[in-house]
Amino acid sequence: MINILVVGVREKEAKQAFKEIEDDFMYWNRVWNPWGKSAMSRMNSLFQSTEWVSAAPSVRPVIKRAKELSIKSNGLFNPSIGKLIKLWGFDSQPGKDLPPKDARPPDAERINLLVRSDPKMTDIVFDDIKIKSKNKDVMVDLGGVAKGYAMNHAIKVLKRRGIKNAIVNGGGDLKGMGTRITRPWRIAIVDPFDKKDAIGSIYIEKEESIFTSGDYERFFVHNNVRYHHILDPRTGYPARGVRSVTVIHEDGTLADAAATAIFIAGPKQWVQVAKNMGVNKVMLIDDKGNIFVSLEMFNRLQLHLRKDTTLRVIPFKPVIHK
Amino acid sequence: MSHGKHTSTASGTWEGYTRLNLWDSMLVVLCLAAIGGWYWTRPPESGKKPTHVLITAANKPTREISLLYDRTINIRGHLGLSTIRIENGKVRFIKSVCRNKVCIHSGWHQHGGVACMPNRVTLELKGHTVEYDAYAY
Repeated sequence: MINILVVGVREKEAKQAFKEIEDDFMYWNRVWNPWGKSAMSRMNSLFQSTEWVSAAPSVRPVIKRAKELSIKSNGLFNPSIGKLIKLWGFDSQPGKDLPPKDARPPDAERINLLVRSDPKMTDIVFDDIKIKSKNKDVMVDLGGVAKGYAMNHAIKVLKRRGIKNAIVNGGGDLKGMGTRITRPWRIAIVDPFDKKDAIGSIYIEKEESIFTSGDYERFFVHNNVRYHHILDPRTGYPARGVRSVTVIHEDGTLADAAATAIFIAGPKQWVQVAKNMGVNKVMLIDDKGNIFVSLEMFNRLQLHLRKDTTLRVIPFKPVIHK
Repeated sequence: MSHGKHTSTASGTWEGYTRLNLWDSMLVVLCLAAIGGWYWTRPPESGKKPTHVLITAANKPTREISLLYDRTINIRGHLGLSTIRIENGKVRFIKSVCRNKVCIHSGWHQHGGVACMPNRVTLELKGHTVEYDAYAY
C-alpha cells in the first residue's frame, strides 16, 4: 500500500524509519476508517445525537484540518457526506474492492433527501476537547485528506531521523523531498486515458507532494454510464466533466483535498477554486482529453503529448506588463 | 591559426600540432571562464534531436524543461537573474546579469549546451530521458 524510497542512508536506519512509519499508518488506517469499528465511526455515531461529546484525540486534529480545507473550498471538498458515499456503495472496507459489478445508482429520492439535509464540515464545532455536530446527517469520511496527512507525517518522521532524500508513495499519490543525490527525483504523471503511458514528468523541488483525483480509481458502470466515487455534494451524484486533476504543493493534506475540490468544481470553475484553496500548480484533464494547466504547473512539467491533444495554459498570477 | 586538413572537426586528428598539456588546457579553461561564457556543441546522439534542456543553476536542483513549447524562463544564478528563451527546439540566453554577455552572444543552441560561467548557469540539451522514480496517478 505504501512504498518508501530513500537514498544516502544506512540500511539499518532506513528500516527503523520504515517500521515507525508503517506502525503509524497501520494505527491510523484502523482508527480513521469510518466504515468499520473505529474511533472515527464512533465519532460519527455520536454526531447523530447533535450533543457535545469528547473528541477522540486520534481523529480530532484531522477533522479540524479537514474542516479548514472544506471551508477554503467553499464546501466542494466535503468529507462530511459519508452517508451519501455509503448510499452509493463507495464505502470501501480495507482489502475489499467495492462496489460490485452489478452495482446501480441508488434511488434518486434517497439521494435528494441527503443533499437537502446538507451535511457540511461547518456543522462540526469544537470547544477545546469537546466536539459536536449541529446536523445529524454529518458522517465524516476522511478519505480525501487521510493520505495527504499521513504522507506529511511520514516525511516528518524521516526528517526527524536525519533522512533528507526520500519519496513516500501511496499508490499514485506521493510526497518527496531532496534528491536522488546524482539527480533530482523524477516522477511520471500517468496518462488517465492510457495507464501504460506517461503524459509528462516532473522533478521534485525541495519538498513536494503530488496528488491526483481521477474518475477511474473507484467506479461502476450501469447502462453504459460510468459512476465514480468523487461525489458532488451539491447534486449527490458523481462530478461530471473531468477525468483527472493533479495538484502539486508542499503540504500533502492541502494537495489531497484540493485535487478533490478542483475535480468537483469542473472545467468551468476550477481556476477560482484552485486560487481559493491556495494552490497554483494544477493540471486538469477533462473527459474529452483536453488538458488545462496553470502556468506555474506548465513551467515545471515536461509534457509528452500526442499531436492532437489540446493544451491550454492559464496564468494564475496576474501578468504585470512593464 | 592555420587549419590543417584534419583539424576542422572535433574528431579530427591533432597531427602537426603539439598536444595541449595539462597547464595549457587549464589556461584555456581559465581564459574562457574569465571571458565569462562557455558553450560546447556535439552532434546529436544517434541522430536524435534533443527534446529537453537541463538547467543547472548555482546550488539549485537541476530542472528539465521540454523543448516542445516556446517559452521564456528566468533563472536565479550566483549573481542574479539569467533569462533564457526556448523557441523551435532551440535555446539561448536573452538576458543576463553577467558583465560580458558571452552567453547571450553565443546565440541559439540546438545541441550540446551553453553555460554562463559568472552567473553559474548551465544549459544542457538532452535527447533522451532518464527513468522514473515513481508514478503519479
